[in-house]
Amino acid sequence: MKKWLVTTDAAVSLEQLRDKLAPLGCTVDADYRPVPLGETEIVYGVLGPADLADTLAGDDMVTDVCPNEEMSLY
Amino acid sequence: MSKISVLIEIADKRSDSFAMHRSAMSSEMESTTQSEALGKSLAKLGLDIQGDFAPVPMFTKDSSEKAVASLSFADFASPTVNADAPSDTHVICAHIDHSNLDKLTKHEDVAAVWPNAKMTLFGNGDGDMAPPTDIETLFGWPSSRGGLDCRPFRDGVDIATIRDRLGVQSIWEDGFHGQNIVVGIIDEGVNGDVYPVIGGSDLSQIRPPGAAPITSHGSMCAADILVAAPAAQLYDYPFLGVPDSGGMLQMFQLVLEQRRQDGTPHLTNNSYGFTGVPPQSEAPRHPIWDRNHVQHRKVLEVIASGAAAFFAAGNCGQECPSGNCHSSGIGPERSIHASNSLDEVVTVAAVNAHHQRVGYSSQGPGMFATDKPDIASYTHLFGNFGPGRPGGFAQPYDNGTSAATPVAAGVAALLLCAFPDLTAPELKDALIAGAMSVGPIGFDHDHGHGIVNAAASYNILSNSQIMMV
Repeated sequence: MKKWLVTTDAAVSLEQLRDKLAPLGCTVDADYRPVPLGETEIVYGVLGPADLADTLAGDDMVTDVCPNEEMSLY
Repeated sequence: MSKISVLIEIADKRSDSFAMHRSAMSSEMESTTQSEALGKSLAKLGLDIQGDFAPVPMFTKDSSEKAVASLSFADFASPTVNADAPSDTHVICAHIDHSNLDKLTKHEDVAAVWPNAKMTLFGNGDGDMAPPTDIETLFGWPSSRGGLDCRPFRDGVDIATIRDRLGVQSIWEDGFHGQNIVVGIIDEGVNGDVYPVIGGSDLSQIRPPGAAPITSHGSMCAADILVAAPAAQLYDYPFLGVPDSGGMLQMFQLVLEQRRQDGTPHLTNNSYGFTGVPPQSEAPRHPIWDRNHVQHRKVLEVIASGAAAFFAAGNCGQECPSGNCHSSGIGPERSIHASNSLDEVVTVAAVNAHHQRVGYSSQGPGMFATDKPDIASYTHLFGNFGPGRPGGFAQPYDNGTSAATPVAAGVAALLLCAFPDLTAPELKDALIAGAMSVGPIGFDHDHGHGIVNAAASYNILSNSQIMMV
């Protein structure tokens, strides 16, 4: 499983997103506090398969799927 | 009869004077050809033309104020290549019999003749003692030639030395110590028992602001901010676990929320990033390749709110990269990337107190904005770590571009204290304008625009304020 940052319209509820992603083998990270992006979008932490970005491309509920990549302290 | 050495100014209008002279300087044969051509009409006077003297173009007819004022050389002050310039005369060097000097002076092609007077280098004549040759020893300031510091690195220095290099004393004397400025540290946490943490992340009960050990990376950043701005205050935004895009996104959102509430923090310090570059074909949405990644968008939102973001260049420089670096991310063009290479942030490279680039400091061009890093700043100092410091000897000294970045952020805090209305772009411009070039003049991909200098930036801002009044 890979960590993802999934962006939806702010009007989409957490339950709607869960329902959308569960059949794809994803779980919304309950410990990740969703982050508003601009005034109309919200970003959720999601665990899902490596091809999730391709699977959700063009989806009308999800506006963006970015990898949540690990970094290092310099 | 003995011959004398003279300088002969010959009428010779040219439009390519600089090119002609450069050509003569690069080849003695060309120099001889030019000199003989210029002196051709004087052959009957028995001139012994000095072919190794490259003819020098002259652009003024005399030394009067009017003649000098007519020149258009003021444009040469700009750091760009200017057009060649037309000259009226050229000077060649020749030996001539004294008896022919009068004829030479009156020759129709000759504008003037001067003695080629011998000069002497001034000195005390004492050549027995070998003088010191180290600029820092001789003049009390590191050489502006720059250089490189690789393993084993030179010793660390105390913060008094770094403060001297930054020139903070004169700013402190004007009453500015960074008071009323808050810096947000996004890192692994800061020790609030020692450092002035007054707020930050509320995401975790396990690691509230200020709860990190004194040996933490974030505590090192805190110490280094206080080098220039000892009265600054801190917000602590600790990553929960391994730093990642999602954690960074959350921390920057907390910064944005705080700024919405009360306009603080005034700037952020970010001493973290990636250490390798995945193939674009395999990871096109990775933050290194995708400028629209949400982590970058959130950073830009915070900068748009007025808070400058300072990012470390990284520790994957070509000459002696950190052991953490993946081979895909070492050296020029590959080691400054993701948010750390956004045009809008201030990207900080690292030098030691001797103005030598530390060989692990990542090098531009950046993978988003090519003109990276923006500036260099000091590392290898006894801030949090080292003799008599709070972090003890867990590390020999504060190190990495991780340390250089908060030193620069501290300078920014000091400037903001003195000029609180500065926007984030204006603050960045002031740091760049005051930066001290090492090595080649101007921008380079090792040091950016040069080493941060608080006094110079402060004076530039002060003068600009006076001009506005």
